[in-house]
Amino acid sequence: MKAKKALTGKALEKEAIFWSGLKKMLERIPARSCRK
Amino acid sequence: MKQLKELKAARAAARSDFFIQWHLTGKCNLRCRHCYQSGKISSQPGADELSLPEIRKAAEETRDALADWAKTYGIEFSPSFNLTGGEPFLRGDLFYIISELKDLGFEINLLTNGTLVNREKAERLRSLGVKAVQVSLEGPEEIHDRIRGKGSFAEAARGARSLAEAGLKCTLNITLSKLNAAYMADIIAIAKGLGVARVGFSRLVPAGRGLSLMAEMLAPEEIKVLYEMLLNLDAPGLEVITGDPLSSLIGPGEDSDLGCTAFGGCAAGVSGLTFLPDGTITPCRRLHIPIGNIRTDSIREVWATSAVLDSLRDRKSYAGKCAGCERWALCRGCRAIAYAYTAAKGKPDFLAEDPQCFSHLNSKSSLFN
Repeated sequence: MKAKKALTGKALEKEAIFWSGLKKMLERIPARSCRK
Repeated sequence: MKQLKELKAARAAARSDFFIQWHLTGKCNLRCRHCYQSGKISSQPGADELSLPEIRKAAEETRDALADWAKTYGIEFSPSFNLTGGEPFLRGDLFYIISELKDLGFEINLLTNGTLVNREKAERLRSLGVKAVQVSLEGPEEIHDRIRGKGSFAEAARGARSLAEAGLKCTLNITLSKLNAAYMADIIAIAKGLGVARVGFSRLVPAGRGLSLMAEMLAPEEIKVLYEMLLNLDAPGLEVITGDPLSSLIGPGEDSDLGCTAFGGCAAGVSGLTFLPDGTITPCRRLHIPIGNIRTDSIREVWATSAVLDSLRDRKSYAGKCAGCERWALCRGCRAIAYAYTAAKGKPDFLAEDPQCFSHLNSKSSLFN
């Protein structure tokens, strides 16, 4: 496998939006997800 | 080097599962009628499978991504790999793979048809620290063999018994359809007889070979009755589990709409990814839409920038009753079933409503409302 580039710019912003939003919800209600 | 214990060092109130469903091989010794994988994949003998060093590298990258997310965003992860196939025991290096992944600190679960498991292999899995093993079982012998092939029940049952006797947490998993829905009591009795810890269930996905069983999909009202029965079963010593998002519809409803941030239910785009044998990344093992390849693409990049994952997280992208459902954030239905069902009808749409959703049947007269 070749070396992969670090996440930067817009991608990093999108990542932060996703995890911050998820974190807020998880603090409110514990999640149960599909594992199958 | 980053260690998974960093994940817990984040000391966050927010906890999230994150799992990789890893199809280590496309090879399988059975040809189950309901398998969502295509016969083509299953019959390719080891074509272009990730090697052991590639698997280790991909696992390290997963660990590093999780460590970065935990540290940066303050989320405590429960990371795991669910190893499967095809049939995972057809990978000659399965025990080495498990050992490598355990060394990296991951919880390991194994999904198998059980036919190649004996006491020696079960003991080895236990000694490697495998957390749980899921064996597929479709009903009593006649029903199971009709779906999975003659003689497969006896072999799967022997495998499940070996796992239970070795002290492993073993789950019998049923793929629910009209072919076996009437046999739940038999399955519970079989599970007790084999000494397994859990019975799990999931729904038929009409994709791959399963496409020919479209007519065997259960109706929403049948799913509702089955789920209410299974999830409220009083079976001492036996746990009944499911990962089906629709199980969130059993029980009291919400006081208000939970909003537009997906955080429970369907794991696609939220709490897991699937790696196929050749490294292809998909949102879910049953939702065969490629979003990258672990050989060439970074997990963090795929997770952050995939248009498919974006739309799975975007309520406005959804169609039908899923879009307007007050439990969207906790459920979203099964995206794989929605996709397979609409594809079979000629208009594939992984954001369509779950065709088996029974939310419209939930009323004051329901047993559990």
